[in-house]
Amino acid sequence: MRSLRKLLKSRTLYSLSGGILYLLLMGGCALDIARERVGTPLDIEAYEELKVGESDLGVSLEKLGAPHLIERENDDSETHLWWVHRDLADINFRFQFPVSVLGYRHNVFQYFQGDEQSNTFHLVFDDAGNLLSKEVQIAEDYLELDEEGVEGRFHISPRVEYSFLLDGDADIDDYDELFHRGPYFGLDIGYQPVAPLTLGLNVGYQQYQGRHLEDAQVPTQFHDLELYSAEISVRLQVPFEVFSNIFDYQELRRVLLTEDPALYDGWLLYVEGTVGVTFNEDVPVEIQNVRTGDFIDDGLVLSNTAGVGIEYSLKHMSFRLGGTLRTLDAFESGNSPLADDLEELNIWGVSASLSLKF
Amino acid sequence: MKKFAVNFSILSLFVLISVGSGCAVMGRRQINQPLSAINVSKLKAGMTKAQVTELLGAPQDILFIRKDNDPVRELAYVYNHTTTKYTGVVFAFLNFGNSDENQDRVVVFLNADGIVEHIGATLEGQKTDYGFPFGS
Repeated sequence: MRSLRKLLKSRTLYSLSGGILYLLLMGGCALDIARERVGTPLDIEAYEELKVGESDLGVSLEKLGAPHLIERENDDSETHLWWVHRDLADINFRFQFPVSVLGYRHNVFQYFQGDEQSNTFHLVFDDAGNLLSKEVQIAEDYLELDEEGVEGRFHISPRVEYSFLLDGDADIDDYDELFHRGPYFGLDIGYQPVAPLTLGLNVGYQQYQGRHLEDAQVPTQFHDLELYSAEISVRLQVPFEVFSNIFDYQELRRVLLTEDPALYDGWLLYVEGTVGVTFNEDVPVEIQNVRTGDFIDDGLVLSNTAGVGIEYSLKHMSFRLGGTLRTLDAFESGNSPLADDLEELNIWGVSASLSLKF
Repeated sequence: MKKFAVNFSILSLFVLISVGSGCAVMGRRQINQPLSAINVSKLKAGMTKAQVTELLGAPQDILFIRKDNDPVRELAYVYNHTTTKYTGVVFAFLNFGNSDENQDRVVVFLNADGIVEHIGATLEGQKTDYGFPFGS
């Protein structure tokens, strides 16, 4: 039991789980989504206004524009005209190993789904230009799009996080031994152009209170580490039903490509990443109650975050709960005698946020 | 604030992220010249083939018909201009690709005397957009 508690407290466990998460997210899995659209969407209302036996070639051309294809019967009795809008979509999942950021990554398993839809009007005219017949071939989700339309949504999301590990070598000891764990307060402003994707801008403030080292040879007091960050973010969110319908291509296509963001509700899985900069204030240090310079100099460092969690989405509101790994590049060492070689800081935490959507 | 601690490791990380993990690709392809909306609007039924070609130039395609025992004659002149825009965004494990293609297209139907009977025109070549592979 004691050894289990020791294991749970050990940095090795976190490092190991972090490594596995990294392998899964950054190296092990890849999702490719490709789309090719050819031609302008067809005007279904204009098509429905054309009447067999009443409309002629001139009226049809006026309402539908120039056809994409024209063919004439061999006996010259009929002329066939087609208006076509093509929509191709490929969705490709890959599991890759071994992991390499820059080099070759072998696909151990690949699951691929592709679909080509042709939405078509076919009109037939006699030699005098009278409309003899008309036919239409339209995909179901294409019709839904035409009726509903897809509009992006803006998000305003207050966010709070609380760290449970400050991982990294701060020269004289680990960051976790020099600072208490602490909160992050932030505000995200995002735009969700389509259901599965949200692009955003995040600003945040973090504070980690400095510890008093009683066990040190001389009493040492670190002041607080205060951080101000500004980052851009990308979040991918998909309903859990995606995983149960992963072999149903039409459903997968609808959820990933053509779903209206306003209709996304229920439980979702989200993965997000941010990249930006973080400004850190000076961190003075006192040795035997005498200020002996700064342990960390103020400065601007590169920062990024990886997060994963669950979301409950309603039409105008979302709640998210998840885990985050916030990484800050190495701080600049200050002029105190305690440190001159600080390494990067990895902040593991849990996060909660509320989004208002409009 | 004493100084910004922008150091070599930050630069290295930027390079790593830019080159190794993510990038964006944008491209544009065009086939034939755009059709002039003003000239297309001048097309009227009753014009001759010569008047049509004076406005729009030589057609990219001509459709022919042939009735039994009659000589081949021209059914329609076809004008096309195609614009395609490509967008690619590559993140570490999530990649998007999008291709959007639209056309300026004019079909001029001719009668047996080579006179314009009907005109079909769609000028959408400029509506091509860069973007993500989502939505309509």
